[in-house]
Amino acid sequence: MSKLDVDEEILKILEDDARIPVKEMAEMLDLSEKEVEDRMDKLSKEGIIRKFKTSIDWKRKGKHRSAAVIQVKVVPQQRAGFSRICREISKDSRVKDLYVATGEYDLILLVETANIDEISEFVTEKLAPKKEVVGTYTHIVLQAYKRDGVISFDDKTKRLKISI
Amino acid sequence: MIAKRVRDVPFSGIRKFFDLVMRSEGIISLGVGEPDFPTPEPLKDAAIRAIEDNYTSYTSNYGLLELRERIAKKLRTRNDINRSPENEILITNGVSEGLDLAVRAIVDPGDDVIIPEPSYVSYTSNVWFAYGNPVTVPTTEENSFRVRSEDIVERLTKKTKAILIGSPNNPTGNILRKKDLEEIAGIAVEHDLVVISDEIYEDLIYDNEKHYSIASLNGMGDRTITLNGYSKPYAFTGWRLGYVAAAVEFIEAMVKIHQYTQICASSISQHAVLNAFELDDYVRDMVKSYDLRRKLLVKGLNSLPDVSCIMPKGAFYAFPNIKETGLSSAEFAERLLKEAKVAVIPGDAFGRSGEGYVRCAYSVSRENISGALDRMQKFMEKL
Repeated sequence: MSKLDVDEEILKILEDDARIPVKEMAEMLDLSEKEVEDRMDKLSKEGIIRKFKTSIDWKRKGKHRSAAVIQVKVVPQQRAGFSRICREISKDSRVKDLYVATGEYDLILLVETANIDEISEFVTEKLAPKKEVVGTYTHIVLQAYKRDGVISFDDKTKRLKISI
Repeated sequence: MIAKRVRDVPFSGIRKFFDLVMRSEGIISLGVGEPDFPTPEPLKDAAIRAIEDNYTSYTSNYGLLELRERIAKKLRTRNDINRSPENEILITNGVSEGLDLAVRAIVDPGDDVIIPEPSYVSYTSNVWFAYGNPVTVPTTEENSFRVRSEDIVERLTKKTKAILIGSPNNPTGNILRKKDLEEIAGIAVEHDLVVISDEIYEDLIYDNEKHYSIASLNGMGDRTITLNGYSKPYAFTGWRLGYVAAAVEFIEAMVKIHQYTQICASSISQHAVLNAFELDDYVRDMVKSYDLRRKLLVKGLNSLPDVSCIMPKGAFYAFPNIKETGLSSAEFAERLLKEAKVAVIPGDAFGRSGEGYVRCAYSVSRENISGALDRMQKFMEKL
């Protein structure tokens, strides 16, 4: 493995499980624990590792949240394109995902709030009034079956416990 | 009511242990003999399409010609084996069927078949069911469980018909190097023997090792029966799809048996493999994952008291030595199951030279490997 590949392997492992013990990662990659830690620090400093997060099923915890996918049509600004408006929207902590995409609308947002009124307020009071925004199309999420690449079903594949 | 040949094959020891494992709750099992990955999506899609398109009837006894052509090309480019897709390749219901056919095609009652062990459990039984005489050759950990040619030569008799090898090996994870294969080939040529070569774990090989097919060596093309299949690389052991490549006389003999016992291999599985989109990336990712888990498991095993384990080079098994515990393989496995809730397979199930070892599969999740190691650590400390 070249040095670059090692970083890639570290990232792939962390992408799947951010809490993997450094010792295990070191054993799998034939590195010292110190080297793994150093590389992770470096990847963080370089902004390649952005953040370590946990995927949570809040509904199961009994806490109901509201979510919406919102498509937004915007007028691109001279010299700033979409980036100025995207930067502005992304600062709102309720905006979980923000993409510029092809199609009839320019931006796609995933917004999560405490309740549905807050989504309504976000769209009507905050998003729609922006001068670049010329139209919105809000899809209220009814049910989440897969988030962050994690399936919310508990199906388990039946596999033989033992076989030769 | 039951035939003597069948009665004479023991059902006992390992079966009882299997039942015990099946009944146990809350165990972590390193006792599996198959991949833990789901079948790659393109294959699943192609299998569903095959059903929807009504590709659900018998195929040619040999299997779909287009798939045989695909296999012929793969054998030519990757294994340096030249076989005609018309009549020198047979698609089977897994390598298990291929092995049975190969043995039955060549073994007359009382013929000896030489089998290095520890080895996959079917090898000896298949020879036995064919009224042959399995002659096992022990291998040692010191020699990385690679068979030594002098140990084969020592066991040759006038009745010796074939040598049956499997590399990468289940249960030891060892591989036969080119030099080993050349020596076996030398014996086969000198004594006019057939070689049956089980290469199902071909794709699962690590540390930049290279897989060689004995059929590609000098003088071996027409005396080797190569067995391979898709279960392991494509993670669909339940789909039953393997193939045999050999000279026309062998394949004709095998087709005779196959047509009257199986008719053909699963048509859905054949169509799925033939029509699935590119799978190389899936296979590469799986091999990479196995490789990481292999290191995690083997380093973990070596840090346990009274356990040592050589680094396996292929398949997805580690074969740690537990002799220092003073327990037999069977005792160790049973106590580990009962006291620590970890399932491993006693090594003697794979032949007498497997005594003192247990087979641990690393085709399980990383979490389960480290969980099993934690439990084993506590078990060993109390031992």
